[in-house]
Amino acid sequence: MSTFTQVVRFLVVDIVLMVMYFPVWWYGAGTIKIIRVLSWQAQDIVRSLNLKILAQYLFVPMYGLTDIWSRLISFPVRLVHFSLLTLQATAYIILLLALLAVWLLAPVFVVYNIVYQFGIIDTNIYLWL
Amino acid sequence: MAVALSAAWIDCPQCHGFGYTITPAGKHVICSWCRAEQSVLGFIENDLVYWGEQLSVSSVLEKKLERTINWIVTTVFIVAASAGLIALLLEIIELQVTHQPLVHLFSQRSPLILGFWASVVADLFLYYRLVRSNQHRYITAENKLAHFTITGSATDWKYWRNVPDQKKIEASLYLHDTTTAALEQAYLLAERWHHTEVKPLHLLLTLYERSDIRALLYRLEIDNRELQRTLARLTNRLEKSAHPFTTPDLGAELRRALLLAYAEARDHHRPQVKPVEALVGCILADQLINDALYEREVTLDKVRSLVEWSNIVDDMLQQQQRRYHLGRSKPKTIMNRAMTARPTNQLDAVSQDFTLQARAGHFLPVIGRNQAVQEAFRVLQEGHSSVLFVGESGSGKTSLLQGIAQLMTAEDVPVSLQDKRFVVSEPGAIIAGAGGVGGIEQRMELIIRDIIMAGNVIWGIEDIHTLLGAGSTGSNIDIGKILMNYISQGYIKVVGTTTTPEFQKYIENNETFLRRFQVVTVAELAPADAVRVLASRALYVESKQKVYFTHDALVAAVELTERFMKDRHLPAKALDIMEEAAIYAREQLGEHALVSKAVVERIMSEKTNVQLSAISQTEAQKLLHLEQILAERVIGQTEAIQAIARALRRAREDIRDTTRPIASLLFLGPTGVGKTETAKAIAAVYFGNEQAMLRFDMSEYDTPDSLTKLIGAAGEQGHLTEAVRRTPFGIVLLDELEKAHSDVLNVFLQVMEDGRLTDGTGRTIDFSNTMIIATSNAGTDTIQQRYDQGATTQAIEQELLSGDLLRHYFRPEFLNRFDHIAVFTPFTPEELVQVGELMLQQLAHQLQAKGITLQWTPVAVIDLVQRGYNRQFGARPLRRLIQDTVQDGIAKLLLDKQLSRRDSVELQPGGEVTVIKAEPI
Repeated sequence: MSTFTQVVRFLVVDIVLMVMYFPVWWYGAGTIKIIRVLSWQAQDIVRSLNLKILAQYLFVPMYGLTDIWSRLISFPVRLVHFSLLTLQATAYIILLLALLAVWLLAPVFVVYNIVYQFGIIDTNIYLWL
Repeated sequence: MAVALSAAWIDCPQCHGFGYTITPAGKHVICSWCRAEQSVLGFIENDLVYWGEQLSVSSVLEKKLERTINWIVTTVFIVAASAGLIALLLEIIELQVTHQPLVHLFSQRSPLILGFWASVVADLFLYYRLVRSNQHRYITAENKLAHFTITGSATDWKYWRNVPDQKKIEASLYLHDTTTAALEQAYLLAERWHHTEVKPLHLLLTLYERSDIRALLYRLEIDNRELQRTLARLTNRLEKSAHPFTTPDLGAELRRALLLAYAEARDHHRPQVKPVEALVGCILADQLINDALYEREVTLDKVRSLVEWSNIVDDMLQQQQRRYHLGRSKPKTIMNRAMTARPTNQLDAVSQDFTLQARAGHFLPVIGRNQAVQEAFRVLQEGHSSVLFVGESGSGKTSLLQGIAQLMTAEDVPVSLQDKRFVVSEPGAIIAGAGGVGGIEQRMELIIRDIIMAGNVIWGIEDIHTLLGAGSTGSNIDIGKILMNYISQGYIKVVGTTTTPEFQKYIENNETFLRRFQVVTVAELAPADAVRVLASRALYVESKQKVYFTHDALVAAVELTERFMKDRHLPAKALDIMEEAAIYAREQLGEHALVSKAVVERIMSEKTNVQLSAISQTEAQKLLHLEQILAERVIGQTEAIQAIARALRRAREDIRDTTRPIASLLFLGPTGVGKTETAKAIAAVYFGNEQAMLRFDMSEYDTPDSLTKLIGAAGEQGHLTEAVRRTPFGIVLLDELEKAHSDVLNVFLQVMEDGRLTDGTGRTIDFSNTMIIATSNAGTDTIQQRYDQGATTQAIEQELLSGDLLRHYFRPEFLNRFDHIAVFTPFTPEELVQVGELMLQQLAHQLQAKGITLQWTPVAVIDLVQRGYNRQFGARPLRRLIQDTVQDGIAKLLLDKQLSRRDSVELQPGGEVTVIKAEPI
């Protein structure tokens, strides 16, 4: 067997293995990777919105004003501020979870569509929309 | 070989690490023992390392093919993905044309939609391939897993081969793609040239083709053509295969080079083995390459420091990116995240917000100061303590403050320092403009109140000593006390800086101050760290001035300033020289010029008057023929001049001890025989300037208290020390040394031994760049007698050194400190005639400026010498005679207007001068 044929054979085997490993990777290492990336993103948003610090300082008057009126005003303002930011973070995290769902469902969804296009199944999920 | 890493090799005993055995017919057969796997096992820093990847024509071909196929597959998939989108678009258009609702787009069955979904599969697959192809293994601390100690069985290859692979490190897994490509190229090169073995040389040749390696070597000022020629010569020496179809194999040397490259990368905390580390590996493993580069003045150390340079830049950029990313969430205003802060108008008016500046990326990274920064953080975490950085000016205290700000911006600091601002003020700004009684104190109070109310400020104060004792007129409390009061109560935290002399003067004895501040010493950077600082700043200077630095230039900037600018400190002094050299290079050599060591030396020479530039032809000639140059000015004294010239050549070639003066010479001889003239001539030749001479008449220092005059009483500067501090490069001429008091002589004994002296103010004055020349006519009568008795100069010098002749004047240990004692002999009448000629020449030279020519006949000179000859006083009476007769005569003629421009005067026997009028025009 010539070197070239040998090389081609190796490569064919490589390609076949690579194709077969594709779904395994998607739901295994790939999913772990995507979860890691998404969780970094979630942590980053929580950190950059300072939610932890704001929660700790919920009862501390704002702008160093310690008189009673400032204290009275400070708490509700902080609460609204904190709630709005929490809402923003929650929305972002929901978006990230949606992305994870897309990742998990994407292959199944694509396969369904291909199978549907071939007429192997007749259930039309688009009618449910 | 300069192997810094401790590496030991155990080769397969069958194939000696080659992996293959060669049959008598010259055919390569895979080794039956190691099967070409782990044929070389390396113990590198107690880790067991091997090279696992086999290289063969098919493997190289396979990788090439794989890359091509990858490229094709990726292209096909991109096309398919685009086609899918087009199909979807066409389907949408069709629905629009047929007026069907878009909801039916995916419900209907159509080839275009099928094509679209197929393309989505292609997209997903493409992403999968992309992620997988970017997966690399990185060298981490965990790579150090084996920790073997070489024992008695060290040489037993089989024993170590059988150690499970998990306990060994497979170095080939950590190769960067570019290094892998270079290695494959090296293999194909060996194959093309029918070499039996792939060697480090092949790898070096392929590495050399890379632009990054060329750029690296460019900074070493390597002559490319010369190096290529040398490499080609080495290549021709390699063994060629007897069989044209035999393919080369990975040799043991190359395996070792690659393992060493891995170790190099790991040692410098690099994630992968890049071409630069492969280059180091090649130099380490192959003595021939090492020698070839050494011949071009490229040492392993130089290459390594260049690699480190590029690593510093890489790390710096990475760190900047990381800090930028982390600093994004730092508030852009004075408000903290907890929203508890308050505006600090009074403070802001007199300071700069370093955290905001760091956030905007205004500061360069701080190098070699980690320890001081961490110490400061530790102090700041303690209850009522503030930090005081004490260091020499130019040692990098402001950079330290910037470094703290950078870490605070990235929140890379202890929790108690997070979410805080670092605001830095200068006392000048605090004091300026605050008028009226109590004005300054009031401003200080307001600033401190601002800081307390804000609650998120760490206050930096540069040159904090200026606050001590500062206050408004008529006020009896200084603002330093106000500051200390608040610190002691724990209201504010301060990071102050001061210089060492100011610390000693104002703070060291101020116990109240020191109770509040913990001193963190900022030592002058070590030269190696200073080079790293320069390397990190070089990129900035290079882009600003559009020039390139060689590594040697940076090292020279540090070394030369370290040696010749003792009153300034690293890194500031070296950074200044670096910038100046860059500007000089751009102006003189144009844009994209190379700032070499020679340029830095030139700048230093201009600044210090020391001849530093690599010895040019003329300078070399001057030194080689120093005797002739000196002989032109000093008549006779052949032996003395020869000895002096030898001592100077030693000094100029820098083979002397750099902690002592360049040379210490004692000129002995009667008056008027050329001792001072010789010193002047040396100043002109060696220091490039006859005026580079500090002259001290030692007869003025003949009492015990004259010592204080010389080096200064407590708190005062001395004549000698101050003069040398101002002119540290030149000759220190000590006239009539024998007349100095013995205490004074003891001081010079120390100077000659240690090269430095401490003056009355406590400053250490460096004498290592001076040349000490002492003249004395002590014992000249005895010397003369010995000459008359027929003793040779050498014998007399020997007697002088043993202390017999001079014991009444100097102690033997003092005499022994001199590098050389030169004996100047009295002039013979013939020599005095030459001296007379020389003096007349000098006078003629002076008259030339007035347009008058001086002529003389040999008879006139001999007559002059006969009248002026005095064995005891040498040439001095002759000089006086010339002054009294010739010069006076000419002066009279000039005053009487008998002599005008273009006229000549002739010296007649008897000392008379006659005028020879010029032809009227």
